[in-house]
Amino acid sequence: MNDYQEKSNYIKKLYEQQSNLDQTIAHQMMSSEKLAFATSQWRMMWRKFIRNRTAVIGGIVILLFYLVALFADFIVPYTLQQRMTQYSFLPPQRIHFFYEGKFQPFVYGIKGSRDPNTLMRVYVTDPEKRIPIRFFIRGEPYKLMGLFPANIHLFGVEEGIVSLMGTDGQGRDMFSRVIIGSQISLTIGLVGVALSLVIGAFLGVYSGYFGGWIDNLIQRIIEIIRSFPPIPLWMALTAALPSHWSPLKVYFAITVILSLIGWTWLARQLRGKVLALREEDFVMAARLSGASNWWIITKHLIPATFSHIIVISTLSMPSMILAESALSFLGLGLRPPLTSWGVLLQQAQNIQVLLLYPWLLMPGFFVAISILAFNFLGDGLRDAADPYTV
Amino acid sequence: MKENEQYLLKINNLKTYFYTLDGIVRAVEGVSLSIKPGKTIGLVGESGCGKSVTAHSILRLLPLKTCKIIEGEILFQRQNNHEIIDLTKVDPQGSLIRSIRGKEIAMIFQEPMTSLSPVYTVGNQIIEAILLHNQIEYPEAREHAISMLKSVGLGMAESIIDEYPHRLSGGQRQRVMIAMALSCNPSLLIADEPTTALDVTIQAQIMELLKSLQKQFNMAVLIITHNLGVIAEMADEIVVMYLGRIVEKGSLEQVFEKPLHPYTIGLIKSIPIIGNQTKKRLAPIPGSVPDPLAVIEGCAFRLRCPAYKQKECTGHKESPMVEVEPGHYVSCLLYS
Amino acid sequence: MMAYILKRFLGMIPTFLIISIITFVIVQLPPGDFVTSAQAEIAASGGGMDAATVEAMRVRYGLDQPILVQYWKWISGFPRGDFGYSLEWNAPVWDIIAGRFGWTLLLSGLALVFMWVVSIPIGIYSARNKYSLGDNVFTFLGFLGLSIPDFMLSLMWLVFATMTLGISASGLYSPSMVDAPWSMTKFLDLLNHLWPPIIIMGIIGTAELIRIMRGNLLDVLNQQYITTARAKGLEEKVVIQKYAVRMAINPLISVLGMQIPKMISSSLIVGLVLSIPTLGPIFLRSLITQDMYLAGAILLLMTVMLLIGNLLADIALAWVDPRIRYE
Repeated sequence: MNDYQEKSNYIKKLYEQQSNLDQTIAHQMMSSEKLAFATSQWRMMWRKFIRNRTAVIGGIVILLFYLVALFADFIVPYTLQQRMTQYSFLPPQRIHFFYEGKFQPFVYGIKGSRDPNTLMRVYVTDPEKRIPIRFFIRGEPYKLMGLFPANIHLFGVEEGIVSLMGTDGQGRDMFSRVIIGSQISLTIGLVGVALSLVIGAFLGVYSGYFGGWIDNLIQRIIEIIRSFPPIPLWMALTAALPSHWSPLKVYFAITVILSLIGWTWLARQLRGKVLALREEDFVMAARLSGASNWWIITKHLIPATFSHIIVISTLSMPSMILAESALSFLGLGLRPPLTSWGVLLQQAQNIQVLLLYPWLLMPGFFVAISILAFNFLGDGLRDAADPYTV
Repeated sequence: MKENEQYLLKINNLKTYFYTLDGIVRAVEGVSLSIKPGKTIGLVGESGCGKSVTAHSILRLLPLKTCKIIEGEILFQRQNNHEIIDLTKVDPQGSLIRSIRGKEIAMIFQEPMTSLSPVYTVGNQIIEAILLHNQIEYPEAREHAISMLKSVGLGMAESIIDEYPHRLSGGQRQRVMIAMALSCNPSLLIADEPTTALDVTIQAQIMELLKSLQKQFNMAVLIITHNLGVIAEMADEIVVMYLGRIVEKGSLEQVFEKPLHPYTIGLIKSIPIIGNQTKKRLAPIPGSVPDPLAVIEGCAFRLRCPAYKQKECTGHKESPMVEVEPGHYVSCLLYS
Repeated sequence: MMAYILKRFLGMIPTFLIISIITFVIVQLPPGDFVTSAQAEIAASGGGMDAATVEAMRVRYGLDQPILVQYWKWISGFPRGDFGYSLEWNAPVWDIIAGRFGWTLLLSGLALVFMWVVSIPIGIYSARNKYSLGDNVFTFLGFLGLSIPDFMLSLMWLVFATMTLGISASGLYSPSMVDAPWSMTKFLDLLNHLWPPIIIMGIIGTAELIRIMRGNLLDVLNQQYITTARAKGLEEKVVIQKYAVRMAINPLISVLGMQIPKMISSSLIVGLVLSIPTLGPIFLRSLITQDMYLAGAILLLMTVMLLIGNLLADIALAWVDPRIRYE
């Protein structure tokens, strides 16, 4: 026998010696690997998300928007309904930050008069008069987050007016109204999505997991709802809201109407996901070891679809915000005194007004930016939730 | 030159790397092998060992942006004037490589279900290849396609030619793929896991078919597989790859009867033997292929090697390729 | 194929009936009816109506009958082309909406064409040049298009056209052309008023389609049959056109079905803002005045447009994809 064949036989013997040992090791490795896999999955998602610059920017913008909405009443110089009639339809003012080389923000004074021919108000700035912008200034009282009475504003002026985005026909500061309006515009989507999520997640997971005639029924209902074009259906439903309802009631009614269509999408997506998961080994294992359906759904299926749920919720935000602003813009959604970006845009409906005072379009840009940010974020989250594709 | 002449294809020290966001994947790390005209080589290894990348490197079918052949040469002898060209030097989208693809080197793939476009009839897809490489008219090409379908054992060739792929079974589709590949009389057929996705009985039929067609068309075949059993019947020579490197090569008898490398020994032990009545479990090679991104110092197989685990070998460096008997090479520290 | 179409068509009938019931219930939802809202309007302008007149009006419009009877009267007219009677306009619903329906159909159709013509080449470019400067620019523009609401775009166009370009942007014709007899100039004027709403309506869909086309193509380019095609020795151009693009367009056709509701919604809103006689303005008006047969007919008509659009998309899909055709 040759030298190399001896070695070869020797290796075979080594394999046999270790095969018993290996089986125990393999077992141990499998359980620890699984654990490592579960934790590393979230880390991988996070790593992938962080690398996506637009998604991170979108996320930061959204965080900022909600922070501003939370402290809106403090941030703005005026309250929602504060009228300064002598300054109606005032164009946005220019803020000067430096005076004689020193940081000292100020605006120039405004003189208003009426054009004798057109009877329109015309404004001229008065370069002689500098009005310094003061920070943490006392102003109109308000309730922070609707709870804590306060009267300190982030910035403001002691005389004249500071108006970053101009004023409307009643002399109300657009900047203040847009910022305070964000509270409703941004939460209506959130509440709407939350509501869709509750209905959609429950029905979607249920129909995916149990199947049978209930699944069939749910799918038919979804099909029927989805065969309506959304905007006209929303229009018809919101038009049916009684005009004597209180603002709060209208607000919730609108979220309900919005989620009436929203949940179908969520339910469809989750059902598909659950259908795939149902066949996975870990669900089978749980079922074989006698876990109840409730246990399997709450301990296995919901956590497993969690990343999916986050993605879907983020991606449904834009359509909610869009729908609310479109409906309010048409005068069918929220009504004053409730103020959302869509409600603010009602003033822009009149073309003659809009052409004379184009800054009334400002709230629309906020709608666009928030939708853009949500789209960026949602897109990044979607990519991250699927960490194995490049 | 003289030495090259007896080879149809000769790969020297090929290195193909992928550049991913997470780092460089050294998919092929210095592979050398050669194929003689009319012979069959089996390229064996687990998934991820670089065997498919090697094959795709030959036809330059790798993604242009993320993948690069950084070293080595692939010498191929052309059909008409026996001119030898280095395929690593040609433009991967140029007309030269296109005149070789499908015409001189053909390829069939693992997934017969997805290898054919579902929206064109099989005839359309075969005839297209024939028309591309031959100066003939459509009716003649169609005749040729039908005769090719017959020669791969598809009885109803006249009706199958007008069928869409989804109406055929997996075995039928793989036969269609083979017919398409052989339609231009290539001198080399690369079969990338040709039977992996098929039922066991169909697997045997397809291998049988390949074997007889090889004789009929007198072509060389490079079969890539993770299953040693598949090529036991057919290959003249076997090359075993692990992590982008060749660990052992030799004739069929040499590798099967006298395997040297611990990895080859493990692979052979994992083949089920039909008729073996003992209740012994098949022994898998413990562990799995390491992270492709990791740069491994020393012996790449170390972590799965019984000799290393039982402290019989230090695995501290890469082993050179040694020829232990004529034509039988191994790269393992135990033998050097 | 015919059997498939017939099957799908028959399957639509129960859906249509359920939808018509829901539609009728929805337009009935507001408290009160047309007479109440008419009363309120008259009262607002200082007039009044006595109880007998109110009752007489209800009887005349059939509003005093049970809801099921009202529904049956309404729906049974549909097969005859009778969509009910508008209480406010005092005319058959169809006479009021026919022309507007035509404009809605025309604008939506052209917007769909615009979307496809623009998005497919861009999608192909983006997929083939993944992460290139051009791809990033198109991706960003796509996101922008996806994020600006259509009413906002319409308003911006109005302001821009009037203030910067100094042209009339609302309505179908310039004010000087409205009453002019038909001529080439008038036709051109009409075209000049039609392309902006078409593009505005198409922008959101275009953004979406580019993304889908890009994604599909990237998927398809990883498919085995693409490698097969390359391994045959085909030119890259042929591989892309014959094998990749042809396959990547298939899912786009099923997306077509999803684009239609958005087109309809968008035609309403753009019509409202740009004063184009789509179904939008009259639908809004009918909802406010509770002109229920008119509102109901419009809502139902739009839903039927959607159903038929989906059917057409399915047929087109079966036509281009043999795997579906043979099922």
